[in-house]
Amino acid sequence: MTLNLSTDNPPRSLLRRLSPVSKVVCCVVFIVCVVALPPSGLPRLLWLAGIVLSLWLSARISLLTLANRVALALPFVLIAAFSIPFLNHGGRQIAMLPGGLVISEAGLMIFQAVVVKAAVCIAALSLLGETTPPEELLAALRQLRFPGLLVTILSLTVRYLLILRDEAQRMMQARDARGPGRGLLRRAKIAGAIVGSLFLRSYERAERVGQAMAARGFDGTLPVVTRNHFAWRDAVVTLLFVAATATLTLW
Amino acid sequence: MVKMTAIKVENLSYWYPDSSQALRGVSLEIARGETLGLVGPNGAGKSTLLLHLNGTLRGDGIVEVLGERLTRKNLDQIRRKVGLVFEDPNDQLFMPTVFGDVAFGPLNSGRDEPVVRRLVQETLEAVGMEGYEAHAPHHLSLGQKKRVALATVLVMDCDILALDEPTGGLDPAGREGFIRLISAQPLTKVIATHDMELAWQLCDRVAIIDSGEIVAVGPASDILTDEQLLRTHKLRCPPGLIYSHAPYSERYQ
Repeated sequence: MTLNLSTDNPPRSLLRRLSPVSKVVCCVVFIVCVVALPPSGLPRLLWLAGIVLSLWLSARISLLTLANRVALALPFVLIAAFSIPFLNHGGRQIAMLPGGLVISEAGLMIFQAVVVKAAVCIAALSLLGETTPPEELLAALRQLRFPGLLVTILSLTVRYLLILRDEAQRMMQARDARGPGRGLLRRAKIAGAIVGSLFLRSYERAERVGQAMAARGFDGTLPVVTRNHFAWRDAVVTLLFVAATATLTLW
Repeated sequence: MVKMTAIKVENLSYWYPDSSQALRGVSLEIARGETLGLVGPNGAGKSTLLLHLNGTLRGDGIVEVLGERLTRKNLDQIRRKVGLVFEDPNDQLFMPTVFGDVAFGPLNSGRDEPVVRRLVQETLEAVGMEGYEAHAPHHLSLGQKKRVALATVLVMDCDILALDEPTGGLDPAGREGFIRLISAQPLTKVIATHDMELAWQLCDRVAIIDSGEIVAVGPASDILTDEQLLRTHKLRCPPGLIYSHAPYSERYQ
């Protein structure tokens, strides 16, 4: 599993220089536009996808990374969208399955639109994540008056996700060192035990972190000094981007 | 001259939520400027006692810090005076960057941003971690994390330093460097550890705690050379004593 939360050596692309506040606004507007497109708007959706792709290339990040990110999230989309073709959407019926299940043309089209839209949105979010260090992203959310509690939770998640991953990896190594166990049921039981103990460990760690925070005067809001620049240049880029995507969507 | 008392604990008892008893009537006094070692086997109650010193845990009994009895009212004030460094730096460093972590305390106590920036820089220099402000704690080594964790409490300008197992997991060079760093702090120090050599190097007095009770308190040179006593409580003499009878702290300097 690759999980890179730091952009330690970012290429100096336009996107890297743009204010994180602009990037967050553009990303949200873009996603709203994508979601708002009707299922029949596939050509316009492909235009929007083209925008992400060209931005991705301009940021000089490997397309393999893009494929990885989308592939990681797509299974969840497929599970969620699995039933869409079978719902009765009217129109021509393509196939009749045993048990009275019917696949309709309209259903298939919606399914296709949902999957492509999800992929495009994931790509846009990944681009935001790839070109913005987590602390700048958090500061941008705070600057945009995102609820403080949510930003605090996100900030702690960013900090502890990697520690949790390491802990899980160590436990899995310990499991493998003692033999992976035979049989699906046995393996599932071991995996369950690992998840369970990971949960308990995190719970206990949360208690200790809470104590450490209280010891330094935590009163419910994270104090933050990081503030992102936001110049007229950023405002112009944001306006242009929002105008372009909105036109493309409504046109 | 009577030495001023930094911390006074009287008849302190604490039960864990599962109703097992962690501290049984602990009484202890720590003088100002003194370094007290709190040694004992695993699970003896060392960390639990440390957590009482700044009111993180509240048991039955009296805790006085710099002559003031700890109550719910003066909790924030006392916490600023007692800097607690946790055993696992990952518990202590919870912000996305080193700067955010060190700045956390001063910002919470309402300092201005320029002042905080200066304080953070000075403190990071003092622990030898200057230039790491923008680093994510996750990318630091354990020794570096420990230094930053120490900085997060030093920056609060505390009077008392409470350290939980400060040398746990460090390599010999990192351990020596960290011990030197601790000994350079002109503060009252309480160090919970089972690193006997550390206790010998740093502590004026040592208290042995076992099963939640203080079983012996005295000068380090008395307690840490009493092999019988130490063995009874699953401890050993500092290895340095086996090779030399001169106090290790003298050879160390």
